[in-house]
Amino acid sequence: MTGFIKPLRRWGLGQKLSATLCILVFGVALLISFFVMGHEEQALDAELRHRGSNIVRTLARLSVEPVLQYDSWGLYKVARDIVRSENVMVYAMVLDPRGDVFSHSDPARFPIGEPLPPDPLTSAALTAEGLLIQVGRDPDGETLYHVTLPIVLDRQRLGVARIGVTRRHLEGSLARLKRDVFVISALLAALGMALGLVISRRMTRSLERLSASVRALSQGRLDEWILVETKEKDEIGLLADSFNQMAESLRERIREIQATKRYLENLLENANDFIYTLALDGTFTYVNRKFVELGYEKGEFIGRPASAFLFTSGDGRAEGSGRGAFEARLHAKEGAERVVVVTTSPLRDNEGAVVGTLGLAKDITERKELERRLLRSEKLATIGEMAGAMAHEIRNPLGSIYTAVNLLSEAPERPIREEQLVLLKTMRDETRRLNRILTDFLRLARPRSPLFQSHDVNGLVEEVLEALRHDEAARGNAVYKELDPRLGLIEVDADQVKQVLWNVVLNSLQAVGKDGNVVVGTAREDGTAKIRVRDNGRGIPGEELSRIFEPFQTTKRGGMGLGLAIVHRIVEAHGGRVAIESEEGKGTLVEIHLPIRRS
Amino acid sequence: MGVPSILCFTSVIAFCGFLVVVLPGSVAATEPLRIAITPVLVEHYLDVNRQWVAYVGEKLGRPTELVQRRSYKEISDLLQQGQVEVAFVCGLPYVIDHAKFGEELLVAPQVYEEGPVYYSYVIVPSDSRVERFEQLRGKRYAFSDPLSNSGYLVPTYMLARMGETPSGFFKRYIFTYSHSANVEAVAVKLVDGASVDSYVYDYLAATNPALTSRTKIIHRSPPHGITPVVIRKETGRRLKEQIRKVFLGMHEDPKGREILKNMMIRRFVVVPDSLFNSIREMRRVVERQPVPLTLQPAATRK
Repeated sequence: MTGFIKPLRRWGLGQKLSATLCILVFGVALLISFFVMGHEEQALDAELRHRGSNIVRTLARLSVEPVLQYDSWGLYKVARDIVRSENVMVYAMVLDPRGDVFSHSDPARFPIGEPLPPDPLTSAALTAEGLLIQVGRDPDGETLYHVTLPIVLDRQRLGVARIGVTRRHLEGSLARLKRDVFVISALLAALGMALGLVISRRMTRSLERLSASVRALSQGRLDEWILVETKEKDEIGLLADSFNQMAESLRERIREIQATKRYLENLLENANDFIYTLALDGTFTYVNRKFVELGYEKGEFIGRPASAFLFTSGDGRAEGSGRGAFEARLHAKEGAERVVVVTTSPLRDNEGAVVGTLGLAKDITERKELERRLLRSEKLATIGEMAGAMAHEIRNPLGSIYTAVNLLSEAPERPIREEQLVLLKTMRDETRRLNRILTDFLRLARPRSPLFQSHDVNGLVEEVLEALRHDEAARGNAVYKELDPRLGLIEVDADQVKQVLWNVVLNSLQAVGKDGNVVVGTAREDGTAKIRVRDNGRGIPGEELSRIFEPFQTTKRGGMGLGLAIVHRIVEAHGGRVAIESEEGKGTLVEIHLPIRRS
Repeated sequence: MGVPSILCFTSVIAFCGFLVVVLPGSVAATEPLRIAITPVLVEHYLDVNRQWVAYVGEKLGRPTELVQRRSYKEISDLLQQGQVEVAFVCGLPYVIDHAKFGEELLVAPQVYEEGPVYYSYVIVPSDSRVERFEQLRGKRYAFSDPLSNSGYLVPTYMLARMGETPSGFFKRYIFTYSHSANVEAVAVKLVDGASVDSYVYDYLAATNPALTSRTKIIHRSPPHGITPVVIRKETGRRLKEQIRKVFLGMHEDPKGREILKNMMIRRFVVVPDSLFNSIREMRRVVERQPVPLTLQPAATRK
């Protein structure tokens, strides 16, 4: 039973309603029809008996005269015509008082003058005083009514009129009636089914629309949501109304939320700070558009550890999920890395559990640069003040010492020993070194305004390299040239440019080892003269690289750290720029750009 | 009252007397000529009968009226009483009535090639084993009219020759007063045999073969004078001649020929009274039988 019911549960509302209506209509129709047919059968039966009675009365009346005249032919015609005239008639006969056949509608089987085969019905018929209806069966088993009436004239019994009336046609009528009832019931059931489908279609159309709208809403397809329209004010209509109100307000809310979300996203995306979130494992889960400025796609961040992009100098709190603030460097794919101040706070879910870190990195690269410049300016100002004093207070005595040492070593009054000669040479060298330092110092502190004249920069390079070849500081390392002959004449201060070249190339020569090499090249590029000095020396550590142009920054022993500070200052005075790239253990590249024409 | 008045009165009386004496003749001339027949011939023959009766009237130039009665006895009475002038009757009633009140022969139809004769058939159901009249002993039999030659006199004559009477020979016999009914009674086996006018049987065989095919003829009598058209002795000679002329000329007239064709009659001919002597002889033989003609079939029960 459950196996039969189970598939029914999957039926739609329409199918269920149709099936119910169909069964209901069919059942009621059959019930009514069987009830009606029972009555109909009784009525038809009564009608048949009534007809039989009337026919036998007519036969008896018409038989009087032929019986009196012994007119068997006339009686035969009456009996024959009666049987032919009524389809319910099986036979008609007239018997004489003794029971012999006077005439029969089937004379071949029932010859005139012969007695009927004896049977209880005939015996009863012959003695009946009035109308007698007996129930018998015909050879086919069908109910047969034998209706008998005595033929009486002046109280004298002339004979008996007898007819056979069959129920066959009644049964036929009832069978036809049953068939018609069944057909009509089936038609009504089909009508009921169709009606059920139509009604349920109307009902379910609204429900289906409702369902589709709910689906669209639940999947966030707000544009696909349609107003469920129904004219009916039944339960479904009320449901649709309520749904419409709910959906409208829901849509309003969702729109508000979306607007807020877009607003917040805008805030995040368009913020001038780097904003990101990290998962608990320290990988990026979100970065804002600011990160794109680093030359990466946003997608390149997601899922990768923050430590791959964000370098801290100290405890590496970039990955921590706690609250804090620290300075860090943010790696860039293109351009210089950025210096940022990162503030982090824990990211919590709705239950308050920490699920990650929210980070806000403020770009302070420019500020840092400004600070550095300020610091350098301050340093230079201090140097300038010191230089004024030192120029006279140190340089004049130094000149006297140098002259004295020279005199002692070149024209001694007494012969001096070899050891003393070595000491004098040391004194002279150190005095010269002091002087050079002092000169550098003064150059830096009180720079001379450049005196621009047209010069061949390639020629200047050749001169510097030639001079360096004889300088012991160059340590005898080779310098290769890649000079661009199209460079032409450039307005520069020749002495200052040579100073710059000297400082840079000397640094490189001192950085490379025994089999190191230094390449100096020139090129014309975008209206500037580019001078490149590349070496394969030990390189400069990253943290020092950022302060490389500040005074007193040095990586070599015995240096004052003024060389590159002077380079920077001269190039700036020429309106050019200097950039340095270096990788520890691999080498350093210095690029100097000088404008070709002065404006 | 003066002489003129008396003369005048006398004239009026004389005129009235003239009217009384002369006018009935004229009135009688416009009365319809009544012609009687019985359905003994053919039960469903009404239209054919109307046609020839109307034809006769048309040719005579006076209206005619068809009078039908069930039995020959009734027709005989009408003729004797003068209620009909002309009648189509069987040879037996003619013989009787001619002797009784002088009824006269007018014409007779010629159906068969042999002349104005016909036969009496004995018929049985087509599947009956009876092959001879004698085998019908103890069976049920149908006569037509007790005054019919072919339907009653001929078979009773045959019985008389066998020394039998209907009530003695048959188990039961009935009168149907119609030759066509006799054929039907045999066909439905209401009776085992019947005597039939050969003209009626042959007419039915041509018009309703389905009925006659259920029967078969086992005996044909010798020829007898066919059913004649008779007229009252009292009818005027001129009218008799006029009517005879109409009948005799039918086969020469297109309309009359059509009617004759429908009746399956070749033509009408004048026949002598002696044509019916065979009937007179049979009647004489039959009436010598100890048991008289009876109309009480119940008495025939054994």
